[in-house]
Amino acid sequence: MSVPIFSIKKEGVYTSIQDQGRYGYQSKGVPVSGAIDRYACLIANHLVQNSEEQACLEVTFGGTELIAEKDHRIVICGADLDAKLNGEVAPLWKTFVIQKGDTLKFGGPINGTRAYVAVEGGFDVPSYLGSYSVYERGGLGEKVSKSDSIYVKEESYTLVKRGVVEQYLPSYEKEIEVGVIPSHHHQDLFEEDSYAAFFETEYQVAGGDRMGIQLKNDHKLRFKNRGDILSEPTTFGTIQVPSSGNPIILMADSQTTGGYATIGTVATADLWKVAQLPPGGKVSFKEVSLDEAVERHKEQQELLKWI
Amino acid sequence: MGNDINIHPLGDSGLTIVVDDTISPEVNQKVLALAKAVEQNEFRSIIEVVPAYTTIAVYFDPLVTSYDYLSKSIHKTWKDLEIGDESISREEVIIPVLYGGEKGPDLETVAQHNGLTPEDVISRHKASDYLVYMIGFLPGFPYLGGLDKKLTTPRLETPRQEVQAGSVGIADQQTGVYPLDSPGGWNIIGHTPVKLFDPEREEPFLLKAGQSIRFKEVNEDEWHSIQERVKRGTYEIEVRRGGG
Repeated sequence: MSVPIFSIKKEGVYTSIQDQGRYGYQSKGVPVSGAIDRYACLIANHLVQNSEEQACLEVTFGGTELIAEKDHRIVICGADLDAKLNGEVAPLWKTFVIQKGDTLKFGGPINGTRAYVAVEGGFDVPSYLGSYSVYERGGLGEKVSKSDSIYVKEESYTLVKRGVVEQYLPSYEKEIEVGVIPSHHHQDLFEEDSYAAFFETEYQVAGGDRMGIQLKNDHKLRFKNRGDILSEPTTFGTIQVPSSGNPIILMADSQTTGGYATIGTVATADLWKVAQLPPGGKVSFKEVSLDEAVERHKEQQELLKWI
Repeated sequence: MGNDINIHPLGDSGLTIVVDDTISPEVNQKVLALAKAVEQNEFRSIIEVVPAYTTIAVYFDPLVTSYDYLSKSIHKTWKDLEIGDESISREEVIIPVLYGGEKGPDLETVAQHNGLTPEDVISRHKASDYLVYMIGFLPGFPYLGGLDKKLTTPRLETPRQEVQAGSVGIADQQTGVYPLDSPGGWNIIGHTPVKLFDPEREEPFLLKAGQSIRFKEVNEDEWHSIQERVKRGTYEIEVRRGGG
């Protein structure tokens, strides 16, 4: 039975419903979308004993204010966006029970950029092409707006207390190093010294959204001839290099194909770090082998079982 | 099959198959045939297959299968692949277009750039058969081949903030239809009331790679009538079969 759980008092910078992504329609030009920090969304669902495919509310930067419409057990995972429950610091990575009339307010980013709210039983929200993930540009749902009501699938909830122990908590750094699996363009398209310098210099986040993060530094990547290619498939984590020489890391709403040269794709195990990187944050890249990337992804998934 | 394909990692959960390096209807046919065969052979272990002009992405869960296994298997699939006539789509989808006027503000620009009259542009644009090479960039957006070289026109210097869904445009050597309202720098020469993408429709996507399309000129009255029928869900897209 579907019941309202939150009404939106303030929508904030950008808040939308996201899950683990929409697969099966990339050949029709539909991006995968889904939580930018898949890991935090997954853990949030685990903690309230939801199945993995349930949706989370993805709160970007904050400014969002929710009013509880019923008593229920919920959890917040991911970034510390200075969440306050009736003015008191709200638990992070720990389930808690809200009561009808409570105000849950996300002040602004303290650590990381995106927080995930999961509710026991899962949000009852529309599904488009097999996923709850909102992709506004494609007409697949809308972001959360003032005076919207959000529903939960189950009226009932339990009082189970679950949380992530300190040692397993991810830490969101402002300067990160991420692994990159090189693309097949790198030998042919980029000037050699320019390619080498990509892995030796640090980039700053110049801007970004759910589609991609723009990076910059003084080192511009240079091409042997030109950097335009016949459009080919791109994915979450692919690093594109337009003619400006400033790389872009494609994120969850990545277009399905692109006509810019690519230098590589970020290892899945490092995507959450990129997802939580604030504007002005710094990132450096390290070439990793496929085996190493897969190994680290496996370890991370193993860890989830312990949480 | 003839020449060899190359396979490269696309991150740790995907791979890119490079079938060739030039665009042609023959290459596209190979790409689509291989994509289909891979989808059928590997359906147990892969997430999805995305064909493009000359390349194909295969996405998979590295906890379920591996790059090495899939590469080997795909090479074998390629070796065994037979491309017969049956894999050529004979479908031609007819897209009604109102050219020029408010709905095609750049028709004049395209004409001037190529030393043609607006009427010439229209007759050349609707005379060609366009192959849908791939769908990408936006939901339902077709990358079309076959534009008359005399219609080649560079993109607008300053892209428009908002181009209406259904707008028919030309950018360099390409023509296309906007499936959604979107910013864009294409020269807009007309508009179709037909929706290339409609998430509410039973089949949300009008086109698929490998089909052909042809633009058919309609007048304002016809355009309004088609739009009305599209809104009511009673418009039947004209599809010609068995041409070729």
